[in-house]
Amino acid sequence: MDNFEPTIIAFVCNWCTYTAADLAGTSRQKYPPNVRLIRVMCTGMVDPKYVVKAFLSGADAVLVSGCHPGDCHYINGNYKARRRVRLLHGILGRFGIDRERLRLTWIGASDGIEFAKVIHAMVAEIKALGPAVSDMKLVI
Amino acid sequence: MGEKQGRALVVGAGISGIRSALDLAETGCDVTLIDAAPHMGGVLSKLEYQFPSDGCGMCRMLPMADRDTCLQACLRKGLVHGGIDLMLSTSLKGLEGEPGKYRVTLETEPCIIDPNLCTGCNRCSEVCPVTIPDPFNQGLSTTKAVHLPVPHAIPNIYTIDMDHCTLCGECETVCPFGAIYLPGDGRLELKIPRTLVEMDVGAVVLACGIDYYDPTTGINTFGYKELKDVVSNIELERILSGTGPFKGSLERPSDGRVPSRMAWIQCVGSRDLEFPACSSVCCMIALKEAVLVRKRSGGTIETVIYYMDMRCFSKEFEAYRRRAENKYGVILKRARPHSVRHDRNTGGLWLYITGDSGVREDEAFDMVVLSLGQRPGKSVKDLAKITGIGLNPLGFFEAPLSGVGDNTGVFAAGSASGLKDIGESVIHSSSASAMALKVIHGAKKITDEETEPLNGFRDVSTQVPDIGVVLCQCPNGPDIEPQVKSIGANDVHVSGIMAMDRICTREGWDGMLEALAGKPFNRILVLACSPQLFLDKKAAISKAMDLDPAYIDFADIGKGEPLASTVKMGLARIRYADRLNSMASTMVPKVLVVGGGLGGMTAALSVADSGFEAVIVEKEPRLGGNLVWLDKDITGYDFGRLLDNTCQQVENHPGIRVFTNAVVEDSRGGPGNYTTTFKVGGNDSKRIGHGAVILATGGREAETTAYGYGTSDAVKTNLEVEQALKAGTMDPGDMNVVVMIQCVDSRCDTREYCSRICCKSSLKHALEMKRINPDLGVYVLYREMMSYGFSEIYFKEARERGVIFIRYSLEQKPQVISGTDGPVVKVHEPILNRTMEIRSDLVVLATGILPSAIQSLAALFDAGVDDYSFFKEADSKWRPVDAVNGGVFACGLALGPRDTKESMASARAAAMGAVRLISSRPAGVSLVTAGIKHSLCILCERCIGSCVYGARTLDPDAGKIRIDPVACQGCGSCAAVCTNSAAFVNNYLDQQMLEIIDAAI
Repeated sequence: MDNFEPTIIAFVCNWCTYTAADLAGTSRQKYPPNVRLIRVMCTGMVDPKYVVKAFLSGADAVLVSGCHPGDCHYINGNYKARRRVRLLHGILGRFGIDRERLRLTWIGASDGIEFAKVIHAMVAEIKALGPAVSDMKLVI
Repeated sequence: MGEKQGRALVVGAGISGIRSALDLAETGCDVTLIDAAPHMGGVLSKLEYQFPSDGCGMCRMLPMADRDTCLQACLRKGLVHGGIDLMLSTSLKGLEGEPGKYRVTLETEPCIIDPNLCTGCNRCSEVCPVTIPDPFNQGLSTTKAVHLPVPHAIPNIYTIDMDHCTLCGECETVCPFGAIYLPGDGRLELKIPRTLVEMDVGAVVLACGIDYYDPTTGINTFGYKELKDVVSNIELERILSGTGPFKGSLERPSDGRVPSRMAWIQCVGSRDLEFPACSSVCCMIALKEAVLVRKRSGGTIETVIYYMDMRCFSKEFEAYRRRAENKYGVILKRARPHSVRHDRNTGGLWLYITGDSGVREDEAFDMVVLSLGQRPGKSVKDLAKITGIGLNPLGFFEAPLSGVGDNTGVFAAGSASGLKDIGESVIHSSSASAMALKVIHGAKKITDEETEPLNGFRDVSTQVPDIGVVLCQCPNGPDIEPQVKSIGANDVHVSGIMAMDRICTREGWDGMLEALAGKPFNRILVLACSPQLFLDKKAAISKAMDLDPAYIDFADIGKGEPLASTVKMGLARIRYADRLNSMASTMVPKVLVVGGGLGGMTAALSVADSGFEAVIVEKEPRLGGNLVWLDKDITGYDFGRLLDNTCQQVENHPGIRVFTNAVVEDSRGGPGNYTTTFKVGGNDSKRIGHGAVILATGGREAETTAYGYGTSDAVKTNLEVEQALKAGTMDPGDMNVVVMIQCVDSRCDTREYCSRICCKSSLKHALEMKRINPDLGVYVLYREMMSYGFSEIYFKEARERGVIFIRYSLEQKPQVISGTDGPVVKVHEPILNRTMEIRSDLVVLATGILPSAIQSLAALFDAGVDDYSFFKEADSKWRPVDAVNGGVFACGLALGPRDTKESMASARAAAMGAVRLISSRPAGVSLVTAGIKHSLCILCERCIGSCVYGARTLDPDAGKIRIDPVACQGCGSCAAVCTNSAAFVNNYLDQQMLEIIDAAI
């Protein structure tokens, strides 16, 4: 169990969090290699089925991260994401997924350090939780 | 991009320069954008949080119509646009010729680090022995002599501060790319020496921005630079920033402790004898900073702002102030602290303050923030000399009221012509670009390059993906070729893998193009680090391979993620890459302008001067709007002449058609293609097609029943006084005392916003009356004198000429009592602390501005109104004159209260926006655009409701959902709400995303 390295799928918006992740890179803020960034134009395009799919495919945690409220390039996509994550938190249990494994954060373009911090913290917490085991084998 | 228009030069690559450059590039001009600094972004590269949103949103300035011409990434990082040549470390040194045909000389600073070779690997900085104060963090932290000037900028090229460099040569030795070439040791020549370039341009936009006052040069330094915990407002912005000196945590510079009490001192270097103008933005900046501090600290840090007048004069600003006070607990105190001292006992700071009543009200704080006034940018003087543009007495560029017929092709944009917030700067930049476009369009085509056909690539849309992978083999990194090859061997779609040496360098890049030329691949995936660096180079690959850029993608292998998943994800993404082949609808090259006041006429002229047709629909029998009754502005400029000139130009312009007595009835369509019907003279219905609409419906002086208005002839409004003075029916010589009451029914619960122009109007009338009758007693009863910017000078002049200003509060409003010898005004005088009675001959009420009713008109065009019934902008800062959908614009009083000069600027900005849209001729649909599979669609219309841009509509005749590819911005909201996967976003397809997720794990 000590060797468990979680896999975290991060849906990051093109405008804010992706920029922050990039800034973390250029300012040499190391963050653990457990995260797989999937750049989307907006967190508002993250379909709940992507999140469920990620868990069913074996992700140990999913992060959805976009612009701060009010900053969305597309006016309100991040609010849509917030509503969806809330709904997902309600139903993930039925897939046998602990709700702690789905996170939503707002990380602005200049918050490279914040991005690295969030990933560090998340990796540590998911390590403590152990691997995700979905008790449903659905095919999407 | 539209029809080729010729070249423009934009000086300064801050937000104003970026706005102007984008305006001109989107309308088909070639643009050269220069900046003296080695990075773009200007002051804004250091500021992250803007009022009133407390966030950013700069990316909303990016083009909406032809999105693929521009790098779709955070604009704080940088601007990459196919029509804009960016030249950094470059200044304008010479200008000759005439409007439309200038020859400019540009000088580029010598480079010690070759930007074509530097990859931003940071090794130089690691070995550099010289530590210097970091200019990006205002010296609050340190960096090395060789450093990255802006941490988030792309391209991330290092620079050397030669004032501090000891020429030790460590960096030169360690650089793995041989990018550094230090002078010295007899090598006097630099590898890339100072260069001079000459080029032909049609017009020049000067957007060289502002500078800040340095308190150490003033009489009162407030301890700045002596006491570490006295910081400037810019320094505080850096402290609050995630890339700041304390990595975003709010600490005192002296000892790193979190402060418990912070004070802001306003007007440091503004509104004083040396600089008699108001810097316009510092009040809002201080409020914003205090709100940020309150939010960050969970309300544990006490924040006090010491101010003279809290100038929250723009539409949403008064509401912001109320929120700051009532919701966030920011404390505002009206006082001017005179000095700051170190407190030996506590280690804190003492602020010496004298209150209103003359009693000392000293207080202790941990940190003091100086709200520094603004000054003209460093380069303004030189640029004025070179271009012949005049400077006003304070050293800013003169901005003539009309801008018409001034026979120049050089225009000042943004805050270079005066102190402005972001929204105003953006408006004034678009206004400048509109004027520049007129000159360039008039001169027509001094460059004869033809637009290259964008759709002439080989058609690979129906071919099975045949992916070529280019792999950048970094000499610093591990050998990744075998791993990539083994992944490729397991993917049937991959037919070639080419390892290249350092494509981040010019040589490597050229080598790659050579290797790719003529290859048959129909998809290209480039594996490299920092792929944003290459996005603008897609075009080069596309040209070399005769392949639509839609089929070229990059994957970032420099982020430290496992290589296998990055490569597999990249392959899953590129396999589905495609371009929707539905063509964008054609733009109707015509603009409808609703309202024929000064705003409407100016907008129509601007549209017509750019070569497009404008149609004015005015409901009154004549053009002119409020300009008909206005007399002069505060500087004495004659509005009658402006009205006559403007009307005449409109009537004589072949590109403008005017319909008076006309009212818009109905409209259909969307951005680029509207059909609108309007009724002329009550019955004659007309229909026109147009690509964009500008709402210039204006506003009016608010009616009132306050202070006995309507019961006495001696109580008048500002408008009535203006008219009477103009007509000569009022003689100040016959009067002894005039009382002016400001903020009538304004800035209160029933009408929250400040009407912005009333203080200036009252000052104008007060000065005019004093001029006619110097013995006249003039009392101005005010709450906050909103004489922002240069109008502060008139506030000062009025006081010098004996106008008495008495402050009142909402709790203790003045009273007007009718008396036998005229009205008596009772008001509490806060300095004397007693109630005064002023017997007056005339009471003038500043009743503020109301918008014309435009709710239903705006709704016709899928736009909206704000809480105060003015036009609702998409973003008050970054898109200040447009509706969210990108096809509807507004100007003048329809947008919010503003003076004539500001109205004209907003009108030109609105025209510029409309011209940007209708002159864009997308060769195809932007890559990330929504589509629909009709066979899966159940017409639930959820997607229509989710689209903020109004890009999706139900075609009731066909029973189908239609998508307007111009309005669609590719956010993907529609696809996410669709329960049937009928709605989709190209290049973010469900199947593609699911495969990417699989590849990631």
